[in-house]
Amino acid sequence: MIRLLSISIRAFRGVRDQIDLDLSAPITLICAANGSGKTSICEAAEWLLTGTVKRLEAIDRQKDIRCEFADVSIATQVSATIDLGKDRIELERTLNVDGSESVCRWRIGGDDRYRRVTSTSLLERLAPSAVENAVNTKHANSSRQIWLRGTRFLSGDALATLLDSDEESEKGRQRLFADLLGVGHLLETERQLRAYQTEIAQAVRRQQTRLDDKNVEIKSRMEAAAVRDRNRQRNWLNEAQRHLRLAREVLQSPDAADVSRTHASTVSDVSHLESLTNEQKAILEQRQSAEAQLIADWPERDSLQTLLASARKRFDELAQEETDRLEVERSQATKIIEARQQVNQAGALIARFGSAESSVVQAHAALLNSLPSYKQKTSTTSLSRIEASRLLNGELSASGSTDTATLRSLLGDLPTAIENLGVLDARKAAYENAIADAPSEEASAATREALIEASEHLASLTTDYGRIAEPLKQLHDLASAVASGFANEDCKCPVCAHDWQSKSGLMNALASASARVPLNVERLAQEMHSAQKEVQRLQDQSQREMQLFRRETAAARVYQSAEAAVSAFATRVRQAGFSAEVVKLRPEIERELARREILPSLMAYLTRLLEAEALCGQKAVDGDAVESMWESVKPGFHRAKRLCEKEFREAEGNVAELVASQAQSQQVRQKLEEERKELEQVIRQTARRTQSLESAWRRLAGEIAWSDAALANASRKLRADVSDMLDAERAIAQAKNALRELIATQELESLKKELEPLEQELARLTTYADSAAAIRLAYSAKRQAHAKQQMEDIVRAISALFTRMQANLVYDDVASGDKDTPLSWRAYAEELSLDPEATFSQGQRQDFALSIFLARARGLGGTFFLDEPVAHLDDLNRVALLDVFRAIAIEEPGKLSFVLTTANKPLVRHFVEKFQRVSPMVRGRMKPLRLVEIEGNPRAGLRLVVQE
Amino acid sequence: MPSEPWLDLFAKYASKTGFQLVPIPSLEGAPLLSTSARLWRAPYAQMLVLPIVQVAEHELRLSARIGQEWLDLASMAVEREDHKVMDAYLVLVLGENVPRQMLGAVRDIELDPTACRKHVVWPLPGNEADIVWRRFLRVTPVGLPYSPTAAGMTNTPVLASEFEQSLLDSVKNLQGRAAASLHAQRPAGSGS
Repeated sequence: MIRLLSISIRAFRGVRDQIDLDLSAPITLICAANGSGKTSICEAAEWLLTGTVKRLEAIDRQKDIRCEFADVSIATQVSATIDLGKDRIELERTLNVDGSESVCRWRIGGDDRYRRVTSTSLLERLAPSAVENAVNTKHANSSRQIWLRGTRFLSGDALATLLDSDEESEKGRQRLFADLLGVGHLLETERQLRAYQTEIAQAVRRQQTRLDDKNVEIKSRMEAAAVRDRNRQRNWLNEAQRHLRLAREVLQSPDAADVSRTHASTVSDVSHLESLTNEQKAILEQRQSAEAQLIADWPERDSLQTLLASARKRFDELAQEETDRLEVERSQATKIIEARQQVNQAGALIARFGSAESSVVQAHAALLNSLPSYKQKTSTTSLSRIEASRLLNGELSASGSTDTATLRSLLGDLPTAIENLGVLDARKAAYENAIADAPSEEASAATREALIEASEHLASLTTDYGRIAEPLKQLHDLASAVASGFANEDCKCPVCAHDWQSKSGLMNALASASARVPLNVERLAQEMHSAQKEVQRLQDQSQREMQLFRRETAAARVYQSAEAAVSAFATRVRQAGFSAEVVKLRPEIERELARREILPSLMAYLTRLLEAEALCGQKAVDGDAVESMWESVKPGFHRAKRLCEKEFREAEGNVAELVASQAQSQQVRQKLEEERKELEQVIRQTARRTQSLESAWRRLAGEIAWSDAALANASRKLRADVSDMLDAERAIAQAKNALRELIATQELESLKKELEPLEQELARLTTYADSAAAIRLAYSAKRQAHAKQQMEDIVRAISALFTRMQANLVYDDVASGDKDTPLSWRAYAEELSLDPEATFSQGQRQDFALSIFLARARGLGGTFFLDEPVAHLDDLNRVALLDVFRAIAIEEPGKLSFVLTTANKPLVRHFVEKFQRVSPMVRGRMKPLRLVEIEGNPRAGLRLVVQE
Repeated sequence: MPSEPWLDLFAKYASKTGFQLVPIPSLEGAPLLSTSARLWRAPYAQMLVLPIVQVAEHELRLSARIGQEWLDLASMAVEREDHKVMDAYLVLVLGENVPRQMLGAVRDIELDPTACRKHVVWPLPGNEADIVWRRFLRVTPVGLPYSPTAAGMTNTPVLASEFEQSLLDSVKNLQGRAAASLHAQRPAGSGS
């Protein structure tokens, strides 16, 4: 019995700071949200008891045992007080901070200090076994770990493996049920042995195949040897050597007298003689080939040589003739080139004649077209060549540098210029009259000054009148009004407060003032009127003077304008090079323009005429009129042209003759060349045949002179050599056969010797395979026997537990079944007997596993850890399971305790309700249910709230 | 009431979990129970057992209703005193095997959670009382059949020879496949 009374955990998995749990109650229900450390408590107990955590072992993450949020100075540690029935031990397991070393210590009974304990010692105490002590310690420990874990711990993860149906889950399911039945360690060994058997069986098969192959080969060789040997046993080595000796003699090998004594030297001899045979055989084949070649051309060997000599002589002649012909053709080609150049030159000259005539005719026509106008405009009757030349040189031009546009502009402006010249005097007279009528500057200035003064005087008077007249009138009106309104006693002036001593005095003063006012105003008005008249007069006078000035200015402008135009035109005339008066200028300009008009046609005509004269070598008379000069040159020009055309035709005829001659020569040369090539072919073929004959002769007969007798001798010698060679080859082949037989015999012996180690190896492997099978059989038998015993022992308890969790009443009963099935259970529903493996639902499989665990727990006693064991159950069956836990807790108090975890709050409430009326248990009057609620999380730390 | 085999069996397992046979109290307003009815009581639950003479569906349903009402009143009477939940179980005992056509009614009754958990029990083929009346063991609060005490872990088999022990050591040391590969590669004549 292993009963954990309390446990302390720190820095382990999800537990950061130390927590202490009292596990003495029959049921300790740990409630917490997911990820809050429930599973860590179960794993801590697993680690403490077995030294490993299976869940981490599966993924090879044992280093994750340490809480990653723990203080680096605090080592991971789990400790517990454990009641082992006879003893009570204090056990603690510590993992240093870097996770590298784990140390387990205990204190037994009344020991005052902890002592280090090995895994073996601990596991022997926790999982006692009569046999395990005799086996390998490491393996015994492994078995004990598996057994401990499988019988004390049941997790939701393990139950979840029952949900799937794939092959891996099938194996997992087998493992789980084996663990539950306490035979997990046996099944694990069986699994390893099965893997071993599979692998070693393959090795056995491979070895057997090798052995079989070897036997087949030996048998085959023996059969083949028996057939060849025809029941005769020979000394194959001697026979091979005898044949080799014969071959040496035939081949006339220099070491013919040597005799091989051993197998190796005989093989070497065969190789050497084969090589020698091959060499001589090659020579013989060459001689045979030469003989065959000779026989074909032998009768024609003399005629071939004659033919070759004559052909070579003719070939040389043809080659010389070809060379001569080629030289002649080269000379002809040069002449053709020269004749063609002459044709080209004559052709070019004819073209120049044509072009020159066409040009001069065209220029002559143009000249005849423009000449009459020129003559008319320049009053010229005839234009000689000399005069034409002078005209072209500009000697007859009055304004040679002036462009024609300017001349035409002058001609266009000429009428206006003549008109301006005509009115210039009249405008001058009008201008002089205007000057005479205009006032002098001094008089005009005096008038303007007098007007200014008069204006200023009038402005001053107007200002005075404006300032005085209105106030005086108001004063007058006021005096009249005041005088009529004063009282008798008032004698002071209402304006200036002057005291007039009496009212009458005051009234008089007012009357006097009123009387003087009109007189002053009127005088001022008269002065102002006079001033206005003077200003008006001066303004009129100034206006008249201004009109005279304007008329003078206009006359001056008109006169100056006409004078400027006349002057400007005169300047243009001078610049154009004319000196005549304006009125006589028109004929001059028109003559100049006529000259300019005829210049292009005259220039073209004379230029073309010069070219024509140069071509024909005849010149017109200088004194002739220019228009008749072409007519005088034309006959000579045409004669020269015809002569040139005649030369052209003669040159063309010469070229044709030369080309025809050259073509004829080429045809002859081509025929020579063809003949030479044909002859070359004949020479090549004949020479090849002759050389071939000679070569074949040398291969067959050597350097002696050829003759029919010599050929007959050589042929006889060849046939004799061929016969010898065949003899030698046969001898060597027989020697090789003898050697092959020898080798086959030796190999057979060798193969027979190889059989023994193969058979030994097969026996060795078979021993392994048989032993593995025997061990596995022993383990399987043990497992099945134990499982069967377990079933027989606890089947009723399992059946009761299972059916209590089956409110739906599918199964009436569960009992032991077929012994060969992994589970060996049968389920009964009415009269049906069902295989749980095939018929249980996933939930029922979990119920079944839980039933086995609980049934075995009742037999083992102690503490059992169930991590989320009821998650898969429906409501009614979950209540049933609570009843079961309550029943187990009550029926044998102190023997069993369960540590259950859940995240399900309603389940916790239900648990509390189920247990609240249950009396305290006998041992220490403990409450049957201890509820531990975990608050917090691994990062922030956990806090336990315990309720009993 | 004469002693019945099932009565002794039931008494055996019920007493394991603290139930005691008690006289049936009279409850005001409660239906009358037959004289064959029995009441087992524990501090945390009470269990009413009603034998049914006639195996008929209407008798079964009537007994279930009567027992359910009686237990409801009885449990409330207890709970009124200290306001703690008092579990109640009704066990209907049939004298003979239930015909197939009644199984549906049995299932209806057993799955009905009203007022109390209900179980229907009848004899099954067998020789021993535990076998014949094994449906009694489905009643959730009663004790369980005996589980033999196990002193330690299951022993591994004793092997026939040192060679087998050595081979097993190799298999366990190296794991199955690796050990086989090693043995297969070992040259002939070098021993095991």
